[in-house]
Amino acid sequence: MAGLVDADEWAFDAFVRARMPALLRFAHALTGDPHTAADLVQDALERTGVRWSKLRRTDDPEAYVRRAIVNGRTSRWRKLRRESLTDAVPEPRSHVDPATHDPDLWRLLATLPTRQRAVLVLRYYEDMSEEQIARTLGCAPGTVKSQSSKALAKLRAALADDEAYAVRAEPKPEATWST
Amino acid sequence: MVYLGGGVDVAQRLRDLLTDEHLAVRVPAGTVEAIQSGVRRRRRTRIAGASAAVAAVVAVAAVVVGPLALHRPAKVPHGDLASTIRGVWKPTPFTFLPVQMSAPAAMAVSGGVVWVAGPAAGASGGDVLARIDAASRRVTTLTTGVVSDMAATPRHLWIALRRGPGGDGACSLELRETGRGDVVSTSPLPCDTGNGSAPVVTANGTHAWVASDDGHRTHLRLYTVGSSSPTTEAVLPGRLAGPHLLAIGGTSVYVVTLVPGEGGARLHQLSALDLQPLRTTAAPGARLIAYGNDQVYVAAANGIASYPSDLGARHDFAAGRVTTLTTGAGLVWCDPGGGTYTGLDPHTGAVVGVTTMPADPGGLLRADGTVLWDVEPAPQVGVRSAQPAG
Repeated sequence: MAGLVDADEWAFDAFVRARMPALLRFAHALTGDPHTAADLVQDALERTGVRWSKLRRTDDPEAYVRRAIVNGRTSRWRKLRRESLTDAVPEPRSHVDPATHDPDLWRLLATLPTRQRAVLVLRYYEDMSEEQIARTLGCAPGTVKSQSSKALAKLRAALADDEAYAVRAEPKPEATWST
Repeated sequence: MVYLGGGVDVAQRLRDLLTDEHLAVRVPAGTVEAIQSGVRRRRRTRIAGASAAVAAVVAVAAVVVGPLALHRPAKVPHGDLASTIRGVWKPTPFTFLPVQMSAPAAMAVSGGVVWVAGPAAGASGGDVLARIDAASRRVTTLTTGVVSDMAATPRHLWIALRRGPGGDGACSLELRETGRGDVVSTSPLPCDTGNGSAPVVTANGTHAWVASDDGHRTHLRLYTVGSSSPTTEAVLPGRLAGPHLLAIGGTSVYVVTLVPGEGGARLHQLSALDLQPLRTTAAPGARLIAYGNDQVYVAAANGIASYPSDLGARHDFAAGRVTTLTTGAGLVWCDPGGGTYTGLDPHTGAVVGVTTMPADPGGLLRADGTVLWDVEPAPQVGVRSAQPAG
């Protein structure tokens, strides 16, 4: 069956080359960090490659990769919370960085649990339906709905707090005296 | 960007934030190679970890499979079936398609979804496209142009059209997503509509290879999901030799053209990703082509020939006339003498599987994994599947 092995390798190679940029963008949105995203995507694709001959025939390989990225993000977060992070690595930002586009929302997005963040990214970046998100994350459509609604509520509340604080902290206009 | 006063909804802000532009990424050089290397490393680790278990399984298999090896079939002429048949494939009952489809014109199967296209009774502007969920047998119908060929992957359906929907006279390639069958893109194809030019398509992963002829030359194009323009194109001398003469396998694509005055059909091998010509050989009388198990199978009027994937040699594979040729479930499937669909050993050509499904001249057969799918035209267009009994 050497031919089938070759065909599988070739198909996997083609899949990786075609979908890598999209998967990296998805992972970037999920993690908030392009370097962590690259690590997660590589790990997820290696796992996919090992099971490729089965996945390409019976499953949606891209959904499997996305699920592996989300699960990898959760595992990584569990590992990292046992370590003490002192500060973010200083790094120059590009003008198209999401952190410069809407810094408040980008920061708040990072505070959401991985699943909720994944649901929002799949919904608002990948434009997936609730059923497609449920298939990708391996959960029920009802769970997607509740996670999405909770995540949006958290973001709305946090943004409202930020704006209220900003209004309070804004310097009052100087008084003008008429003579 | 600054958002003021909470006037913009969070959902809209998320859409504005999560864009390709903001999430721009750079794929470092060598990443794909690093992933391939990682896959090989993980496979080695798994194999090493499982070696003890494998040794035990091999020992058991030697006891169980040993006697079966004694019955490995030698090449036998058709007709001498009894001594070599290893499997009888029994079909499920038919799932009938809506009555407006008068006959099947093309079928594609992938990822548990079966697609059948055929002319709508009493209408000439387009075809009915039926989507059948393999698990539930639920049928959904859509409309499309006049279908000449289809190819499916788990996520995408590629449809080669002789004429576009609504009487558009040009050949085109339609890409649909497989979830609901919505059209993703349409691309024009070169063709010779006056002479009934019929484009053909095959697909793998996110790519589709489409062959069509303009009346003089055959255009072979590679399309990739995400773009309606071809990634690359090769132009071959001569017309496309028939409606079932394009196959993808290994890292090559195979197509048969007919060059007038050059002794008949030519079988071309091209590199699949850049369509660079690799080899050409004579394929006299070629009518059908299929790829499987590292072999190219070509059916002509009096039998099937097999070639290694580099077309280095030609072997007589099976004798007799066939009107169906496809590969799947590890076998080469055909209808010798127009009888029932029959599975041949891919190396010896011996009959090793038979079905109880008679091959109707208007029927089509495709394989998806280990399941065979058959669509038959009468009395109403219906689809059924078959798997080995027992």
